[in-house]
Amino acid sequence: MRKRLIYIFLIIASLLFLFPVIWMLVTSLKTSTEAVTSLSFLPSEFRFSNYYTAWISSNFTAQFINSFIVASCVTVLQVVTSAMSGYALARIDFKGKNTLLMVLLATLIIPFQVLAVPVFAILKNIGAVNTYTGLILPSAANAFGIFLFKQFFEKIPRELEEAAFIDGVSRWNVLWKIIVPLSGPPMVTLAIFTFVAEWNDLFKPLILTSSSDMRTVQMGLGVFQEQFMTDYPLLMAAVTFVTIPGIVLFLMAQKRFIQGIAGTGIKG
Amino acid sequence: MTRKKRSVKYYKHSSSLAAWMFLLPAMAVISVFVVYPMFKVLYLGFFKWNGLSASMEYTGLANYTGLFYSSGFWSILWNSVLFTLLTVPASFVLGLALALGLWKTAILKNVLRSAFFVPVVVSTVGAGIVWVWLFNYNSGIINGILSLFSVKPVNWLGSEKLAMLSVSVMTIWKTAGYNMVIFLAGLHSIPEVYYETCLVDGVTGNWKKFYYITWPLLRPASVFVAVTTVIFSFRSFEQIYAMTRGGPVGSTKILVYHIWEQGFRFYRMGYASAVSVVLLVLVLTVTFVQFKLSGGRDGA
Amino acid sequence: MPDIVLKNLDKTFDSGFKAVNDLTLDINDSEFVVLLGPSGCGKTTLLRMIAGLEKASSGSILINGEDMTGSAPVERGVAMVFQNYGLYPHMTVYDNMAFALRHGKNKTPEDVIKKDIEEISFICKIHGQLDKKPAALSGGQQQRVALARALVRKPGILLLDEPLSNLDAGLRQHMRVEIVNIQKQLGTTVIYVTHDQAEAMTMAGRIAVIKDGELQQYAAPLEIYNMPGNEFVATFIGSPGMNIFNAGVFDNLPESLKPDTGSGCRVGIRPEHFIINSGGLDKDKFIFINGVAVEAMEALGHEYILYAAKGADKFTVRLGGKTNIKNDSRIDLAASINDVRAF
Repeated sequence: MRKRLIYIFLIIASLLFLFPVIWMLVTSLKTSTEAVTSLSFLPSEFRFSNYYTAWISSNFTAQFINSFIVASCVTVLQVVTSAMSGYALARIDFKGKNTLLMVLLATLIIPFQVLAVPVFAILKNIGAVNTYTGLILPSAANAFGIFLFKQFFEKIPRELEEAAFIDGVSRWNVLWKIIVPLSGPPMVTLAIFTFVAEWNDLFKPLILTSSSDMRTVQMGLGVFQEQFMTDYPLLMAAVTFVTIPGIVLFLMAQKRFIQGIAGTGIKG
Repeated sequence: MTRKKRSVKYYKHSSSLAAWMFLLPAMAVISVFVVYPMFKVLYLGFFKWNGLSASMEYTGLANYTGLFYSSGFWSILWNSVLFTLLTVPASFVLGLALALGLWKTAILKNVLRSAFFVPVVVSTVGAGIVWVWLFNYNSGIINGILSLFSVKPVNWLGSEKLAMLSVSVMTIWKTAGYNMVIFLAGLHSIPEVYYETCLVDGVTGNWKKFYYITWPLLRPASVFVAVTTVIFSFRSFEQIYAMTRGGPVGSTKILVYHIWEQGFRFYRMGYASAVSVVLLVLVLTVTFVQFKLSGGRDGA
Repeated sequence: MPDIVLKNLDKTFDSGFKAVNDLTLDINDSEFVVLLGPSGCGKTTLLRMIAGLEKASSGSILINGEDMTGSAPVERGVAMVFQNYGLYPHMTVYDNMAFALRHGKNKTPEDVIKKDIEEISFICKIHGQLDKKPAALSGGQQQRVALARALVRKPGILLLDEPLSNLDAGLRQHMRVEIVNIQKQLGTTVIYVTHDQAEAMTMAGRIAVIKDGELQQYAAPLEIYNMPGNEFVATFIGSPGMNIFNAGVFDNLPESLKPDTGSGCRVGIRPEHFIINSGGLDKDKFIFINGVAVEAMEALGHEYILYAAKGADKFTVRLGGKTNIKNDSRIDLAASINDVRAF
């Protein structure tokens, strides 16, 4: 009896959680008149052309390319810098390590938003505002990824490396030839995390770009919203195709994704 | 003897060097874009700067006295606190309730868990636009459903009284799934033997078991959720941008939105820096207090 | 103190795995019974069924003559010590012990709880640790606390699931004696699960040997050792275990040891029951096994272990004192027919 009640609660709750997404999909296929005049769940006719109209009504092609370049570069850089730092923190004993760990932990608490003005000032000084470099560099390393790798590397048996050291292999080669090939799980987790976070980010591109050529998808969505304020089917179609990369990546790797989050919570 | 000592020293030195070589790329980025800006933001708070010209004017504490004496700033600060109070406890409790529900569930577990998690991966701007549509006064589905029960349409986002609540509802929807995942992992890390001991010892009743066993053993997860949700709420921006633009009449304007607006729309970078410093102090203080409170209760 | 009767118990898990198979066992009051068997034999499942943590698929459990097969654990008057102790990490030792008394079925007044905890903590020698949290205790102390927490409820039946397996060898030996002493002092009926035969031999009043969910033999330790009921018990108990031979190896196996079945006749002899046959032994009282090859030998100081072979039969021989036997030599062995078991 109790179990059944829990199931009823969970199923109703899950439908409520999914409802906004479902309603978005349903609305995106209606005509704009039908959307504002009728509450019927399914569209009277499925207007798939809304997606095409939304796509060409704004510069989404360029914005997708911008977002893809930025998110991909940030992802690759973060995985590389995090793996290297994670390795040093997991394996090498050096002076100042504990202080460094404390500082890194502290950076996790500080929101990027607080640093918006100085980061803008720094990038302006080096002429990197309105460039890919300016959007990529500030996110090229992150304490979250470093801790993720550190935690994973600590579980790899030391014997694996020590055998290589005895054979005269350098630390650099040990990391890339022995440790990294074993590190699929944290790499995939961090890569998905970072890509989705970058893809979904609005604040950073908003402060670091002003020219319309450099707009990312989330900025583009904001602009599109201002343009088509009341044409909800077109808006919902735009939100759908902007949101889809994140949802697809999540569904593809949901176990990893959830384990990654869970892992940080338990340790943290 | 001396030779041996030297070789040990040499080894240590070289491994220290190696460590810093590995750390260099990440530390360079974090130093330039996190650590240095933390000091720079303090510095910029003492200047008047439009963000475009090369020159800055030193104004001492003018930015800080300016915001101290502006009634707008105090209401923005209050809005931030209100937003945190509206979202954090609800998202915490909802995440915990969902996790407790899913905990011993076998059938449909993954499907249900994914359903609760989907809002987390949807972009906040996109989700904000969807909720604007749901909350729409004339043709939104929420008012539509209410009208079936002959409730008059509610101006969710257009009224000063309700806008903050509406944005909070969307934020709770978006963050509860994340908290659920953390709580679920925490619950699964509690060994079954504690509940078996209860069973053998005749300690029955779900509430009793939750209060004496589950809740205390779940503390690491609870602390993590409490701290991260508070930080998330203080850094919120996108949902305000997409749903209300801080309105109506500034009723949903919170600190990050204020920083963006002052700095990047009105080009008052010095003033925005001063607001940033206030937010920084607020985040650090609240996080510190949370850690103290959670660590102080007992030292297990 | 209660007695327990298990009748034709079966346990099949949802996965289809049969953990306990038609098992019947009776335990007298104040008896110390050890369930012994290799890991995965179903002994822990059986213990959990007695506790009420696992449902029996069929069969019945009677405690003090009352059918408890479907009853909740608390109605059975049992307490249990788990393998990893299950001490609540966020409570002090005192609160751990008081937990069931405060929040269990029969609420006990605080002053009675205090008196009981004092009494039991003295018996278990943890009275100095009452204010500490489990993490601050050594493994041995945690073990005592787990025991004390179970005993403070004054259970009629105490169930222990491999309680000593996390302790080092020295401490384990010491705790064996203490648990038996405490049991004698309180008169509790104890069911104790282990895979360690030394624990079983030294602690048990009776041992139930279990394999693949089935009871192999149920008897006092020395009887199990000397009169093993089947080949499994014979080889499982003792280290090294009993040697099993085809009867044909012996040059003079008496008719009395040959069972009716004839051809498949197998006999068992413990390693320490062999002697060197240097002639003059009575043919009616001893059996002979001549021309045994010594393949390897271990000198342990007080004794020798020989790894011997005759034909296809490989076996171990344990000889006390000094010997001049060499590797790769051939020797003649004998054993008293009183020490030979036929299966």
